[in-house]
Amino acid sequence: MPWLPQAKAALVEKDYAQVISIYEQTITAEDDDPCLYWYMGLAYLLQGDEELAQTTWWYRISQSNQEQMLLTELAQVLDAEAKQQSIAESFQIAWLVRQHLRELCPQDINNLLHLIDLDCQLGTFGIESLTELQLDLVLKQVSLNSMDANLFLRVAEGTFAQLSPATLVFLNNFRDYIDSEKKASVLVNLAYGYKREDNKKILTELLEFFQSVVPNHLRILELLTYSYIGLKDYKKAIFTSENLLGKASTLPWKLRASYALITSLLSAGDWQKIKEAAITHRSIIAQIINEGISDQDFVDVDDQFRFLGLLTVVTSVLQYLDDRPAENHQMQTQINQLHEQLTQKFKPTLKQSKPTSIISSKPLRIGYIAHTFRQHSVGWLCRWLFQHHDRSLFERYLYFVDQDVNNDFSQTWFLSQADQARIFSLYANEAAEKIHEDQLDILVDLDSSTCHITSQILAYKPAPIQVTWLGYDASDLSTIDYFIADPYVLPEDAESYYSAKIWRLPQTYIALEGFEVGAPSVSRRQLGLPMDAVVFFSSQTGYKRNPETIKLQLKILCQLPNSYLLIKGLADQDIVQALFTEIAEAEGVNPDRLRFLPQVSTEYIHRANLQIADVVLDTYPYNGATTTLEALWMGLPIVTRVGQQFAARNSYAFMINAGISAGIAHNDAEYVEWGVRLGADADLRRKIYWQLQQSRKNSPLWNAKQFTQDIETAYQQMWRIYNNL
Amino acid sequence: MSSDWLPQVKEERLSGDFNKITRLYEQMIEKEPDEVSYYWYLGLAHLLSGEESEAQTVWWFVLGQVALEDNQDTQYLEELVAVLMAEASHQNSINQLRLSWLIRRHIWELMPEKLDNLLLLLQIEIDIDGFKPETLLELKAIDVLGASESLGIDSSLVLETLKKVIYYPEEVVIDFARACILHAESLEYWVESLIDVAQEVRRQLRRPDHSVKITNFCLELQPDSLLALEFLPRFYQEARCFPEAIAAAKRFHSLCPNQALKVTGASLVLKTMLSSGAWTDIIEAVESYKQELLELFKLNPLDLKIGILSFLTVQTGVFAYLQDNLAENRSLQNQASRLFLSNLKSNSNIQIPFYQPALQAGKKLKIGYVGHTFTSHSVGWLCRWLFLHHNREQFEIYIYLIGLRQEDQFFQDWILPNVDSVTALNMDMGAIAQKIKADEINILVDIDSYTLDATCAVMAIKPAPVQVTWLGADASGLETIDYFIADPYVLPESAQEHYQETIWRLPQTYLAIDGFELDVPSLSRRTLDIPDDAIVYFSSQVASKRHPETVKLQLQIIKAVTNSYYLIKGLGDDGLLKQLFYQLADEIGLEHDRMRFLPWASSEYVHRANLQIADVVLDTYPYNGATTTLETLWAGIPLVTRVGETFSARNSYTFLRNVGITEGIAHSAKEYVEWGIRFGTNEELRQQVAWELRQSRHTSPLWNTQQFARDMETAYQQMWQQYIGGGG
Repeated sequence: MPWLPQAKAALVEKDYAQVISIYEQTITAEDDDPCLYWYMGLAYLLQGDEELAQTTWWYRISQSNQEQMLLTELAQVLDAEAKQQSIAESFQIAWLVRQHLRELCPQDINNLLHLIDLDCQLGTFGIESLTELQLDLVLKQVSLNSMDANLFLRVAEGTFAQLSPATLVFLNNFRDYIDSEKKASVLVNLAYGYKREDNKKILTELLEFFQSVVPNHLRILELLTYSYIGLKDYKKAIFTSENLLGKASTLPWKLRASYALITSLLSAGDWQKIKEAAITHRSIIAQIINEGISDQDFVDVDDQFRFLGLLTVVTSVLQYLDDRPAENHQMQTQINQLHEQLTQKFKPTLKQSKPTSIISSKPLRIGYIAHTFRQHSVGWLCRWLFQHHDRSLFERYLYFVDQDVNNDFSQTWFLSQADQARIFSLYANEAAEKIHEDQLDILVDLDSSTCHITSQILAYKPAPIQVTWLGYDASDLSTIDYFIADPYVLPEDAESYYSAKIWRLPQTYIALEGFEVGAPSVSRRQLGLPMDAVVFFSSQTGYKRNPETIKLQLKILCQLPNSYLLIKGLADQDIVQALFTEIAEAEGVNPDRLRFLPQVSTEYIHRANLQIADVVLDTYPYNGATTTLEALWMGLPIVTRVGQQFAARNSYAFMINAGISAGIAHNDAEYVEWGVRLGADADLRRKIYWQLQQSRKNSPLWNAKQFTQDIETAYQQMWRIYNNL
Repeated sequence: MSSDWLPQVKEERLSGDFNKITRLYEQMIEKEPDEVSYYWYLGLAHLLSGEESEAQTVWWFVLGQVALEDNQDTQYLEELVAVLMAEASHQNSINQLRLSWLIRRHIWELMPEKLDNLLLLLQIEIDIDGFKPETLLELKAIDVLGASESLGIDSSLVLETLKKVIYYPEEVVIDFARACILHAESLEYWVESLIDVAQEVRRQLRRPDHSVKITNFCLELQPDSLLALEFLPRFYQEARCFPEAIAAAKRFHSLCPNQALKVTGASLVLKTMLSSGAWTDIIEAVESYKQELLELFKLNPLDLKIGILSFLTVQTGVFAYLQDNLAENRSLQNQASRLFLSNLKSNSNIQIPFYQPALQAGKKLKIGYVGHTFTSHSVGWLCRWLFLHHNREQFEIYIYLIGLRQEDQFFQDWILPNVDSVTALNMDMGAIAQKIKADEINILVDIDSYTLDATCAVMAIKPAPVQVTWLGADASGLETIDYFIADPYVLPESAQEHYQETIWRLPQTYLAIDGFELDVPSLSRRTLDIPDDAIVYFSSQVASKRHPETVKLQLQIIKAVTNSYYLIKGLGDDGLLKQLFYQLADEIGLEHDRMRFLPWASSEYVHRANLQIADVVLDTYPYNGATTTLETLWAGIPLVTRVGETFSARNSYTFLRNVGITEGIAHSAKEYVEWGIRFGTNEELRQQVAWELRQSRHTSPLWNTQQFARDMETAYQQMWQQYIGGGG
């Protein structure tokens, strides 16, 4: 039975005194329907008179001998009213009604869930509110059979939206309920919808909780691995990914697991285990190429999607280990064929692409897609292109993939420079459709194989001409037409193993106008280095600390007794320190001559601190890119070893384009020789410093305007080729 | 008729239950339909519950009826307006500004010519941030003000409204102001009030152009107002209207009635000329200022007003820009400070106790720093590392901010985390001095010197037993300051005889820094159309440092070095500065194309990055660059400087010495030109200096902030020992 029809008007007006008087008038000796009391009490409650509400209800209940039945009835009335109030978004009132309901039926688990839901809505959810509800006590006494599973999910999601330790307390109460991997998956997916830059730690704790409940859940182990890496907790990442690899039984999962393990080891700088992990990884890739993958290997579509995303980038980690570009690119090309088969059925229907600029007077519409239009290496380096583009000839469409744009850097350098900007989340299909609707002439990808989503988008080929630039080595997707390079960054025979056509710009594949630099925070004095010491410097992530290169670096130190090596970079501090120390001892260098510097708060200070160095020692087979450019900007000599792959030739290309040849080594022996020479010869260093200062005036590397013109010419030529003009 | 709400609705009015009130009045009207006032209140109840059209319907029902019946509508209209006026002020008194505004808006519709309502409506509209200057036109405010029936209105109501309205930087507010003149009484007070607003406009809105308009309006009110005339040149200058600023300053000077004001006037003329770069007429202005000053010192008045007082200490510093004459500059500065101090002591309006400082020191020596530049200001950029490196186990560090808020981002980043206590009492010098005294500061260090009057006043009160001046500028000459921090180079050996303060020479440098933050450059030779192989000379300075004698030397260098260009950057009047440079260039036959005038960079970070364009930086004399010299040395660029005898003429010299470079130091005009030419023609020399500067970062005192902090601390300890030993 609902509210009396004659009370409706007063209810709408919130004139509860009127409602009460209507009910008072209706209740007579003859008509003593308990329901009338329930509503009259409710009206008191809504008016804020809790005591009278209870008196009214209990008066009627005490009149009857069917107490239980009446209680149930009253509970239903209150529940219905609370629902109404929630719909009307009167959460505070709904909460009050539910508190009274809880007093009547303290063990109604759904009511408790509703109350938590309301706490979330009202922003009062927390450890305190949970304690007050005594959820733990109730759950000990009741069975969960009566619990509304959907309600539970909704409430859980509400607690994820305000992720805090209370969320964990809440979930822990339902530990037994979350007994299946499926339930855990649903919850984890919900939680990941609320992932933010500032809740990484608590999200990791949440994953740890799920992992403890369903320890064999592969997806959770995978997520946990990357969460640990994000938190720089590398040892746990390695441990978790090893666990994952042990548990993986299908081919897709074996690949995902071995990729996670290599990523963990590389980011930690744990080179002891990496050789073995790489062998495993290569053999899994080979097995996949030989045996293929079928739809049956996947639990669901999401599962398949994640695998497909990974597939396009799967050989990229191998570049850190060896300089074998032909082998890696051929392997990736084969993998990409498989990717193409598997992805075919998901492909959105994109109508035949029609470039807008068939009439040559129209500006060419160039799209740029990246997840790095922010304070990220790629963001720092690419930004001038957008400033210098000739706006009468080119329209700039910028596509931001899964990244935060609410920061000054993204606003100033990218958003404000775009003729059109779109921000994409995780759905490659939607993004591809949007891009296609924009009718681009050329789509330029700045992510290459560093972002699964972008790879997937590019695989759908939303633009007639697709180009890869700057982000990384080319990804071997068959849908990419060109890979932008220059005369130096790829060897002459590279064309033979790239699936994309290599487009060499006349001078340099990137130019910039410098870096913002802070004030330095370290000095030789502070580190206790002698005034006349020669200071070598290397700042790189654990990924790039290949022991073979470390060995060469220490050979240099060995030959220059008064020299020191400063080591800096994101990785596991202990592991990297142990790695260097061990090699130093083997090479007969006193580990005292190695100094490990902590990370600094900003990249500006990091760059300023470069001044402490006399010579920068580059890494191989994966060179520094931004770090090399920063060193050149600061006027420092660099020793680099040139190899075959893109990653092994970046420093070489930059140095040539800054007009410097001193320090370029083509083999191990030359690397050591250059290191010793630059360390010993202050006059040579002085000359390089001067050359680099002067290079700012006229070298291609610092001439972003010229570079922009060169890449614009390339776009026009690509467009002409496409149109057979 | 009833002239208030019915007593029985009192409770409902409090609880805001206007439905009930409406019902009650409806009932009353049913009973007594002829009582007109019931309709007024019924409509008002509608209005207050947000039913505007119902309110108007009720009122116009009555007004329309009576108009038809007995032509008594004006009387009724006035009755209604009186009811509404009473309610509007009631709502105002209980802070219901929006309701009050609503009622007044309806009154305006009923009686648009009612001036007091109109003015109050404007005031409320401004208070609730709903005001737009166009409203003045919409409300026909200017017409109403000018109408004859508005005469006799309370002048202070007009002024209060004008003060609020004139804050808005739009032309129409000045028209409004002119319409107000009719109602002005006690003009002096009006001018004072409006000049306050003009200062607010400059400070808060950063619209000195509007401050100029307000001030010119004040001069319409009172053509000879000295107050307005004194502010006008400053506002003009900030609005970058330099010729107008100079003319206004001259006018002020010509009207000054007594010697103290004449000094202020002459100083203002000189200062305005200096900052605009009007160097061609400056010699006359200098002489005039000097004469006025000497005359004042001779008179030695002890009844100077505060405004004039503060001007005194601050403005004798201008001689540093004009002449490298240690004896005369110091003598003028010292005399000015003596006059300042004696007036401060004798002035009964300034209720400041002159403390007898305490003697004991605690376990840690308490060092207080006072100033207004702990922010992204030259002095802030330079002093910040001292705080980073202070030994907090031996020293407690107190900061006293003058006119700077703690929330300042630079202060938050660099100073706040490294100090024990911060006091921010704006400009209240008495309160600041009392706080310093209460904190029992042992040594008080000022970083403003004579650049801010309030800091001078705090130092003059002498709240700490030992007082020191450092870094802000040359010493202020106050007798209450014990020490002036220097080094072996920045003052000549014989300097002490000219200083009132005891010169305390630190062993190496009076300042050390760890560098500067840089943005990416925004300038390149390509965009300036300068060939790659050209030699680029560079100078970035404010107009006041562009002494023509030095500019002449610089242009000789450019002329002598073929394929060289001179990039000139700096604040001032572009026209006047170009005129100066072109005129001097013509005298020696240098093509104008060899000089390039650069726009002011968007930030100091970009400015520093742009230094890379230079091959050689040419310093100014007799007032050297300080921060600009340090930026140059940090960027690794050779500098040509001329050393003189005053502090300002020796800053670049000490910095060069402390960075280990002697190349580029000239002791005469001839040497200056020689060094300039040598640097331009000898790449090997430039390369050598660049490299030495690069290497100096590891070794030289200028970039060793930790050692500098130790040296300062040793000085503090010795000063304290001397104080204790000497018994104070």
